[in-house]
Amino acid sequence: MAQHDPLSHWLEQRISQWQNFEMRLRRQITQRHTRIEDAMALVVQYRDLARDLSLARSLLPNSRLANLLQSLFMSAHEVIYRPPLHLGQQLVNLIVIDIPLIVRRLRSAIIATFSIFLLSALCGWLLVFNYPPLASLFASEAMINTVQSGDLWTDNLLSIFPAAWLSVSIMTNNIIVAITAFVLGAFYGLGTLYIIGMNGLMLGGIFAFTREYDMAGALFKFVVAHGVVELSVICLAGAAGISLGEALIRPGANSRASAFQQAVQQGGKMLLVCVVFLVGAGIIEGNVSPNEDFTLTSRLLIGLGYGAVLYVVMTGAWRSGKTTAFRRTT
Amino acid sequence: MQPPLDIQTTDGLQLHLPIAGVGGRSYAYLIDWHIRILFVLLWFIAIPLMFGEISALENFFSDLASRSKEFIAALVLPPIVVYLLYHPLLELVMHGRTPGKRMAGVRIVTTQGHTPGVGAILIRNIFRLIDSLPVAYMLGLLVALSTRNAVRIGDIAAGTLLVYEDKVEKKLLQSLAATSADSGISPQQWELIHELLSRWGELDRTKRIELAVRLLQDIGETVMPENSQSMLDRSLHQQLQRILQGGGHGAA
Repeated sequence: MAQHDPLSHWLEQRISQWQNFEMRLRRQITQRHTRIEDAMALVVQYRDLARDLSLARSLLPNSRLANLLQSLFMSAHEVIYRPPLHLGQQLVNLIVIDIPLIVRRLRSAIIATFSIFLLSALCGWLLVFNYPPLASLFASEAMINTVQSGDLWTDNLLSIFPAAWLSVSIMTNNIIVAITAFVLGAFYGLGTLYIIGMNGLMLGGIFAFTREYDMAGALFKFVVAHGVVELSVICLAGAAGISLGEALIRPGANSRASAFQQAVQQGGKMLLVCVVFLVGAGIIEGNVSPNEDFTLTSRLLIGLGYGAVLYVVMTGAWRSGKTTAFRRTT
Repeated sequence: MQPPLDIQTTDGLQLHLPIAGVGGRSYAYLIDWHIRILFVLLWFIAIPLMFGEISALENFFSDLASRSKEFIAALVLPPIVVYLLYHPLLELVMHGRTPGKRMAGVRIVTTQGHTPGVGAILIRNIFRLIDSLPVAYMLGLLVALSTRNAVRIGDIAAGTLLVYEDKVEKKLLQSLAATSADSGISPQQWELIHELLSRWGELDRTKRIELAVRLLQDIGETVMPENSQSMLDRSLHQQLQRILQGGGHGAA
């Protein structure tokens, strides 16, 4: 470059530094373990680069050089400021700290969702109990015909589908319902209310319909092992959905978008744990619920036991002393 | 034109990222959609062939009910998995990009300009469920049209947005280093040569020859006369490229 031009002189001085910086940065991005000296050198060079970028912008605005330096600077900024990845620790924190805290924050939404679900189940039960033909609103024609012929549609499920297939399809369906209940909360909570209400109506209606043919007990026997957690999780996902609606309706001191984002983040964490429980519920529903070898007592034990695990994880009751201490410090 | 995303870094620098509007977003989505459709079509052709049931190609839908469960599972499950996981998986692996986004020159970043993490990518993807309502991402498009950063509901939820990628050519630093070594080209001239070469195809031939000759004369290069305008055009282009590679500058 022109020898007497100060800009050219500066460039000549700096180019090798930038090349070195680019190489070091690439190493930081691609290699899993790098030396501490390398990381420290990158930080020092990063500060120099920030100065170079400012200079390049003022001397050569909108130039390729300024763009190149900005691109390098942004990549380095991301590498330097990214939080350390401790997956195991993050998982522990999620279960031990975040989830009980989120459940505590969403307590009123959870109570409201469970109440709406139970109320809709009662409504569904009363509707079909008083007007039996309305059962067709909640059950398919094939289901109605099977019950009317004296069988439950869940009978002999294992002879039709392998347990693994049954589990996977059930858990997929449940996960989709839980995710839908959560994201529909973005419609000011109305979508979530619809999903929770419909699920409640369906449950109540179907129980009333099977009661008419003396099969409510058999249906309860089928449902109880997986249903405790499955229905609770749908309600928890619903509560997370309702919190989205609440964030949009009354965002408080935050902007509406920021309140919505926070609600999504905490709801998303809870949903993640819910999905894990739904996988377990799917396995139970595919292997235990349709299996006639399991007695009602054993099913009750499995259902309530799994429900207790859900309760303990969600509330952090297993380490209540420590969470109370944590709550006091926050 | 969308105003850029301004990021104030902790080091006191302000960065400007050009936000991709509805056009760039739709363009990227359409490419990705076509890639998925292409995969499904190829799969629907490949599986009957692999199962040795070539007739399935002819009576595809009418015969489906009579096929074995394994055949239907092998036929239907992978396309469903690809359809559902295409975006989240590729966005994670490709650091906020998909093949479609890469072709459209856009990528997902957080509002701080960083590559989004697993959580943000999962959230923006599960919200596709409502962004795609009622059909063809109509709700998402409407929201993107009415928001400042042209984002859909999933992006608002995840705190992400789509920006145009920096068009920094590969090996630019090497080119700068090569040109800088004992040559008489100033940084401004280096910039002009790059600019001219990048727009070479768009410019009228007479105009680009005129510009190239002036630029070469400015930096003290000799322009060799050629028999025809097309040969001169080609020779000037090569001469400028050589200079950027640090190999063709002899005068100064």
